[in-house]
Amino acid sequence: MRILTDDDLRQSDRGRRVKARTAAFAAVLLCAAAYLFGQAGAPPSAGTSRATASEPLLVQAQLLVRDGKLDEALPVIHQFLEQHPDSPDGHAVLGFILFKQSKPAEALREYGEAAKYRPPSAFESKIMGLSAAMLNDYASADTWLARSFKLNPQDLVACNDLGQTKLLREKYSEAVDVFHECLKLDAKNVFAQNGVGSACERMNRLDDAAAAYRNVILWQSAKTNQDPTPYWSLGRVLQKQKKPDEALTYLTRAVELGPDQAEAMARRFLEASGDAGDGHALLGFIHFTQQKWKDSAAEFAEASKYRDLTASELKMLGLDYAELHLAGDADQWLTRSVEMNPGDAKGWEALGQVKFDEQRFQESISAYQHSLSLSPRVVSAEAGIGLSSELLSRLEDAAAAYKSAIDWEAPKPHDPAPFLGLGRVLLKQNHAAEALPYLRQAVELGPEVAEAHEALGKAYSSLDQLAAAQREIEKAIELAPKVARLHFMLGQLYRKTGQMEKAKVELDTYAALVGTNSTPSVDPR
Amino acid sequence: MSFRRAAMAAVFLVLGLWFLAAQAKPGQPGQQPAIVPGNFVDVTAASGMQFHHYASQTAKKYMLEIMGSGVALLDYDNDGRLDIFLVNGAPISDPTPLGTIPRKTDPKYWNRLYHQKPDGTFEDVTEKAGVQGSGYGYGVAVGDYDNDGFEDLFVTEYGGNRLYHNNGNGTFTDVTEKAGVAGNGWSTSAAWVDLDNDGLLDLVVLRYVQWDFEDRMCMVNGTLRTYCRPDNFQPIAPLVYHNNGDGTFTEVSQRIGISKPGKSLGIAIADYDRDGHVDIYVANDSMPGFLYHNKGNGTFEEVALLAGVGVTDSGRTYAGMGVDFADYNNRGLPDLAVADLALEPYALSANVGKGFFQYATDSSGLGNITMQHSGMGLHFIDYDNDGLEDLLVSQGHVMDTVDQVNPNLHYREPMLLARNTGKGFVDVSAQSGDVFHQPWAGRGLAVGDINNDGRIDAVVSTSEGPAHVILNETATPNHWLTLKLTGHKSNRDAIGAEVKVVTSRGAQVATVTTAGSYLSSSDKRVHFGLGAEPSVRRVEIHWPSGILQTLTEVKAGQILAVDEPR
Repeated sequence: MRILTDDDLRQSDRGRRVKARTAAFAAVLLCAAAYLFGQAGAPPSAGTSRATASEPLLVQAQLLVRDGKLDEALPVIHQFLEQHPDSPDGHAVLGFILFKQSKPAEALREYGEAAKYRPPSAFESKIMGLSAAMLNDYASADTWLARSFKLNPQDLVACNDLGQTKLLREKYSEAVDVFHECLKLDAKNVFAQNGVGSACERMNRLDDAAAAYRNVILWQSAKTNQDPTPYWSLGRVLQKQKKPDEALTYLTRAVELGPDQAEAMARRFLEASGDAGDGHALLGFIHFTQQKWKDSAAEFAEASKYRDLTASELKMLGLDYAELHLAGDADQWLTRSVEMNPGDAKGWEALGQVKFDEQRFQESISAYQHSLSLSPRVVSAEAGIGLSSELLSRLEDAAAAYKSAIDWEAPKPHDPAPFLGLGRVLLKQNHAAEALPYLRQAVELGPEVAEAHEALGKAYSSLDQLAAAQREIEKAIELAPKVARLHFMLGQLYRKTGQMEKAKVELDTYAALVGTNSTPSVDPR
Repeated sequence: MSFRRAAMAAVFLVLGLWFLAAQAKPGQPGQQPAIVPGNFVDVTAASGMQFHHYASQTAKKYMLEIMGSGVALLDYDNDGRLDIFLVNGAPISDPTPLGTIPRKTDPKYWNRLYHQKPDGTFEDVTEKAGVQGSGYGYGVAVGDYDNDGFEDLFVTEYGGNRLYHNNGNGTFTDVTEKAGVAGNGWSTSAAWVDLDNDGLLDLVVLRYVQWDFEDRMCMVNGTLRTYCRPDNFQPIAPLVYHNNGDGTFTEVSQRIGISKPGKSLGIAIADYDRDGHVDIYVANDSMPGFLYHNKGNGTFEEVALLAGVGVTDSGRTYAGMGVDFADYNNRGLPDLAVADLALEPYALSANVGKGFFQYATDSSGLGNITMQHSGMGLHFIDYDNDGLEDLLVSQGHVMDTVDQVNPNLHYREPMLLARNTGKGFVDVSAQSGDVFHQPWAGRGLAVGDINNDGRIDAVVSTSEGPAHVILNETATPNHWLTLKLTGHKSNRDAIGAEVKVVTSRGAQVATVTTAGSYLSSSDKRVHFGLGAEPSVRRVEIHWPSGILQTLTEVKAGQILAVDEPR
């Protein structure tokens, strides 16, 4: 017999330590695997289990679950349970598989079996809670999720789910408390913050709700793909707080971020909120952003049966009618809108346009002037004054307005309208040469504007520069082939330059397009 | 000495500057050209003419009730004084069944003939003359269709027209059935013109739209019921009657090519291309106008678009109504003016020769003057005898609710007098008499020298209102010459003859016609203002027969009767 030396002992210790370390490492690995399974949907191994983690079938089943191979795991775990029917771990794994297969009742049964042998773990409690929720048994879900969170107060998912369950149970105050706990785990927990907002909204704590939604918006502001939901939510709360203009800002953004969802969201709101006035107004707004003018007008009209429309809503309604070419109705609603909100420069400008469409040119000028008094140096409004003045035969006034608009654009002209307008007035005043540079500028700024090419063509024609005139009218036709009268103009140019066959073609085209009716006052696009 | 020279230079400089300042630039909107006002006086009250047009407006807003009617100036009894014929409506029930042809049921609806007495007042001779009419009257055309020396009357009515032969004894006979010119549909303006140069006046009768008493709801601004626009209806071809020479006529529109369906309201004639054959312009409402070019072989071709007329220079259509040909710029070619509705400036087309026209509305200043106005009857007249044709227009909208819809526009408007300055037109209405401050629903306009004083006067009819006799009493030292032509080989009225007067200032050209304006017929005598010229060096008359007659050294200040050489 050999006497064990220290080396022998040290080696033996080392071996024992390696063995222990290996076992621990394996346990850790298993725990880690189990944890991962938990995140991916697989349970960790139980703390007290009659069947140890070393049970090969159990381990195999757990690994298969970890890999998502639920169908393969199922017979394995059944086989294990046949051999070990009183294994809580086995029942827990089976319960988890059934949960993942959306068989919540069976899952709960298995977890119940497991619970006969030992208390459910935090994870198992969580799964049981979620299973109960799937069965709309929110009370049970509440119980199990609360237990889960108590056992594992670091489990953010359980926390969020518990908060959500509280909401569904309409225990709003408790939901707020839970969500606040979740926020302690993750200060920028969007889910929890939305939950706070939702709960507060339901408790009519609108300021708190708004604050919560604002936080969500702030936290996601740096993202490229923002979620429109908090914008919807905040818009809805602001509407309830009678802050329509601010609400509109957020609702507009919500539609921008998620245009496809917009209508569905609005309808959901209408159904859920029970507030028909706000709901229909919201739908009206959605349709307005989608340029569905008729639908929008109909929704606003419906909303008005329940409550007075706001100034912004009246403006949208007026613009709906303007787009539908019902100028009288447009005038009525836009007028009411600016009466309610006289500081709305855009509203006044829109009214100016509608008055023009109604041929109420003096009133159009007044509306545009009002707009400019609120928001000076707006080129489109000044150009509107010019156009109305033209139609009142006040050519000097028209010219002055266009010149102002041009001056306002001066450092970086971008809008061809005033250049076109001034050119047109100069042509009417028989100053074709003077008109030319303005019309050239109009074409440069608006190369796709058929009217600009048309007016420039007319100027060239007046100056007998027929080739240039022809070029411009041909371009105008290219841009606006449906405008019959351009074909007449081109026909005349061809005739003047001796191109008789081409002239006849154009004049025949004109005649065919016009037929025996009047040319439209607004050119077709 | 040097001081005196300097002072004189200064005086001349000031005078020169004053002279230059006084020279306006007419045709330049925004500038202030010199105003030479007229003086037109409404003498209706004193004239003895008491006429009321009954439009019979209904709540259904039938188009028929808003557009009529016309007026004629003619000398039916050859006493040298112009008489007046006014067309009237008929009752329209509210509603009216489809297919109804309204009929006059009471003397108040009669057309009226007023004979001018030597003292310048008028007497109603309607009953004696037998020209009361039977239906809803619209237009009138005067012409001696049988060359017997007495002016006959053709009256358009809705549903069937009437031809009244002047018996020469103050009475007329309705010869419609015998003549075969009743037609059908909604006839408007008509013109007597010798289409085939056989010395007999033929008849061109315009029609408006295919229409019946349908209860068609037309709205404005979605809230107010209004009269429907012509776009809502189909066009209809004119009727053209060839004078067979035996008191009968044959409808030949298709055969001779004056047959394009239109929405026609005004007609004027002139040889626009100077090929020796009279041509015809038809003003259409809200669709392109027609220019029928006389090919000289008895047929016509429609060439408006190619000629550059019938629409604006931007190819926009307009509601063409009153129309007249005249050489307003004295270039020896007949130019064309057409009145239309507000926000559509009246169309002025300058004849540039070779059969083409140039749209001159804006360059002449007429565009800015007329943009806010609605014109119906329109005639060129030289109101101040300065040798330049001015424009007189009876005005008024066709929507009686337009004031409610558009505050800038008015259903009733005063007449317009636009003076031709030689460089364009200026509005002298406000300065030319109280009559230009009286708003009317103006319709027909006939012009002529009612009191034979060398100044052209006017008669205006209004819708659902009185007619007005308006004498031109413009104080002017300018001279004038009026010619009354009688054809012998040509049609007796000399309609279609082209008259050119030449003075030291230049030449003026005019066509003999009773047609033009809106639903109306004017004095066939051709009038020239001569400015300061006390005589005319030369008068050239191109008769429709082809005969060229020249008169020399004709004194101004007379109505000269000229017979076609036999």
